[in-house]
Amino acid sequence: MSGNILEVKDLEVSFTAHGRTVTPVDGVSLTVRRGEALGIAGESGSGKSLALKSIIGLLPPNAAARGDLRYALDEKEPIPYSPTGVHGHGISIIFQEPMTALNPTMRVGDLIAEGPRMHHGLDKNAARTKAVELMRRVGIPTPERRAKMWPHQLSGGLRQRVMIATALSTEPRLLLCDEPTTALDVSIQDQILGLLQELRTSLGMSIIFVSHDLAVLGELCDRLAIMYAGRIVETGPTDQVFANPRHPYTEALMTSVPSFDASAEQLQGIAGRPPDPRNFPPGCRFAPRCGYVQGDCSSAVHELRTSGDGRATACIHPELIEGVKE
Amino acid sequence: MGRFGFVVKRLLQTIPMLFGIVLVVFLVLQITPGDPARQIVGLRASEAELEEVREELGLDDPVLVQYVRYVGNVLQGDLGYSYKSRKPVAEIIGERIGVTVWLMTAGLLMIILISVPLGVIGALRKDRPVDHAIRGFGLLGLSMPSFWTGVILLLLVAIPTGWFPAGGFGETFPDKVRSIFLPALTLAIASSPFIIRGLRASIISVMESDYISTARSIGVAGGRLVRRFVLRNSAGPAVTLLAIEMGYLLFGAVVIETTFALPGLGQGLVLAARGRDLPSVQGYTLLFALAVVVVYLVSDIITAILDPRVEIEA
Repeated sequence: MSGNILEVKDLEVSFTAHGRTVTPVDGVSLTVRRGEALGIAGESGSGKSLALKSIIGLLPPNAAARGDLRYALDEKEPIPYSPTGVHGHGISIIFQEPMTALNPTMRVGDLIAEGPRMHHGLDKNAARTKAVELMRRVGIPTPERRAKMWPHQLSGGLRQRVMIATALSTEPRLLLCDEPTTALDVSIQDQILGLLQELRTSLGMSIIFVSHDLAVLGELCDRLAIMYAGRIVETGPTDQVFANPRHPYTEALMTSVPSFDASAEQLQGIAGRPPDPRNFPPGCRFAPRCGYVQGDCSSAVHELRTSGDGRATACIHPELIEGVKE
Repeated sequence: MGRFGFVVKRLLQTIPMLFGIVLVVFLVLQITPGDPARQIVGLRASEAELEEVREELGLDDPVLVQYVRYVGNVLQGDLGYSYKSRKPVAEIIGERIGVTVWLMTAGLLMIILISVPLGVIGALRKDRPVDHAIRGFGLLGLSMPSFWTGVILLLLVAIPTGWFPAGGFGETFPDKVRSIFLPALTLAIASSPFIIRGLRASIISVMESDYISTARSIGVAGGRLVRRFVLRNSAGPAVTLLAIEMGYLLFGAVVIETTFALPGLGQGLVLAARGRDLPSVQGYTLLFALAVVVVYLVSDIITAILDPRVEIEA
């Protein structure tokens, strides 16, 4: 038995408009093990959110997805599945903006009860009890009272907890998180991350967590995949990637995270802009912004090269970065 | 404060509006050329007779005094006397209002029955042949003037089948339904396209929102998705649009009641205007304006009930 719950191979998401096709997700492959938390890091526009949504079939109607998606139901081997057919069956998703992700004209208890009513055939009252139970499970105080409230009557943190309870209502084995802490205050962020961590351990759930915030990913994730311009450029165990990045983009991302001992003037960004999906540069897509760029970078073929220690990088000159480090 | 508070506030807001309407209706009569007393007594009456009528109606009093008296009378339900029949205007309106209420209610019902399914289908099958077909028929309905649609329905449906009377209003309930069906359909043909378009647009924007993704992700689909997640969220703009349409519909009733010979307010207004029966015209105008105010009020209340967030904006 393989320990993988999800296997994604050569995923492509493209949009066609006025006869031109753009491919913001261009050949993404990743695997998630049972109980594992995988983080996908990248700038806005890197395609991380689209990649996530195509796993659960929530792409906008004008987008087309291609690739081999396999998902393991129960304790079996991963088998190909239809992303839209997986709704309510084993994979759930939570979103960035908990205000817009909750139906404004539905009491939050009723929303959480939708899943149990449909999938477990519970009647209205049993489903309501189940919803209150789920609300208590995700740490919402006085759930009986709050179940009758409208989304706009709750704070941002509570709304995100309602969203999590809704996602849990279908008893998922894999929870997709699309920047669920980005819109929240830092203190609330910590609470939500703590909750996700706790749920993952106690329910044995796997998580894919997409964010641009490396600090958040570092807290929750076992493994990281760094995405740039529609491709994964580096993967590996979180602490190793942090300690010793093997792709110049990863390194640049990490130096751009502000730290307490750095003064404001030392705050570093990455020079240049992320490339436009309509016009990706040839070869390594990071080459035009890369400090280590070599002559052959613009003709490099994209390939994640695995090394024995469970890490992989797409950089064809990783020795340059490591050389600097050592 | 809650939604109840919103409704109370909205009710209070209508009071100054009502006074404004009464003022405008009063002023319109003041600036209308012609002497009301002369209208009543006729061209051959003597100067003394004329003066007597003027005295009786208080036409020589200052305008302000006349206005206060008019407001006082209106508040007591006294809309004056018809120049033609000498009957109280309120009584004339009372005899005719039932027909128009029937027409409006049936028309509204038909608009909803036509617009909701077509709006939903158009939005869910956006830019597919069905959507284009609905839009095409809508354009056709919009382009046909009501009096023409009415005549065509009479010629092509009422007369050949004999199911519907060619005019007039029935006495018994089934007869009333039969005589109101075609007029209501005429109203609906002209008004549904607006509502269909409005509903389609608001459903399309709702379908793109995050909470629809949430609903889908937990497996809500098809009719359940439309009923529990889409309709209530997209109904608000359509209800407002419908209220605006109802305002026009009231005046559309003037044309339709004439076409179908229905003895309602619209037909009454036409007759009164033709006969220069100013108190009646004034009474009808006041009533139509009040009806529009009430329709808007009701639509705001419905919107407040549909959307729990209204209370924070109130």
